[in-house]
Amino acid sequence: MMTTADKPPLRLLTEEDDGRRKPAVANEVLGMTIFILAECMLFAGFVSAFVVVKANYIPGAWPPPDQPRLPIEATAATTLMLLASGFLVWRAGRLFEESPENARRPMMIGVGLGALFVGIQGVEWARLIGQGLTLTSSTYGGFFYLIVGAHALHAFPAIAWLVFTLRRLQDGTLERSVFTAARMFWYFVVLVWPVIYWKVYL
Amino acid sequence: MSRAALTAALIGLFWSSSAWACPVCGGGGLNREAFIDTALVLTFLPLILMGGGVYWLFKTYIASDDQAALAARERGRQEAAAELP
Repeated sequence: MMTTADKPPLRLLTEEDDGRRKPAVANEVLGMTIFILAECMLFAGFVSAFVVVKANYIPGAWPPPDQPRLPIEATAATTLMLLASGFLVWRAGRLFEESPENARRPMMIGVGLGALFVGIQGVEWARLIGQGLTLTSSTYGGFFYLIVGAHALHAFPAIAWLVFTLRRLQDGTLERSVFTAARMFWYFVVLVWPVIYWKVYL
Repeated sequence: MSRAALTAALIGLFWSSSAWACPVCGGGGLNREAFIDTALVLTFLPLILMGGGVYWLFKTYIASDDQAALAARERGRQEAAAELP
């Protein structure tokens, strides 16, 4: 019979093989959470500055009459596309918990819709630049490209990361924490956009 | 301080009106409203975000602690049962 001294120490379910306890939150997820909180403040700062500058103008004088108007309807459609992409990626996350194979399809469509959003935004930008709305043409243009450009700077790497996770998902080598962090980043990109649309476009 | 200087200082103190150094604060109307609204957002948003983040971490840690304790108890029970003759 084993004595107490012979017994191996109690192992907890949350312990790694080397006996160290697993972190309560995966490092990727914690890092992404902190990053997203900081990015929320970045966008809050940009949008706040825009709102204060816009309020400086006489009612009716914004946007400046000599500047082209933003494509509100087309952007509303792309906003819906982005929201649908966010929903599909969320759905893929849920399906991943049950069976990773089932997550592929919604993930693929979600990433496709996200890429389409960025592509259409790029076309709209080219059109606006052609119509004379540039970074230096007015405060209006400056703020537009700053805020929407900052969003695009987040959307590009988020899509690249989702493509990476999609490939890993297809290979069957995708780690849960990496997928969670990538999805969190995409949710941030998706959810910050309607605020930008509301404040900048409308 | 002479009485005249004191009187002048008091008059200066009560006669003066507030000077709005910032054109946004002194602008009035929509301008001022936008300034106050954004100041409120920029003041409370980081507090809410940080508070929410810390609360979430705390809850997650407590939940993982509970799970670990339950697992340890279950393992101990199984080991004790295995040792029974």
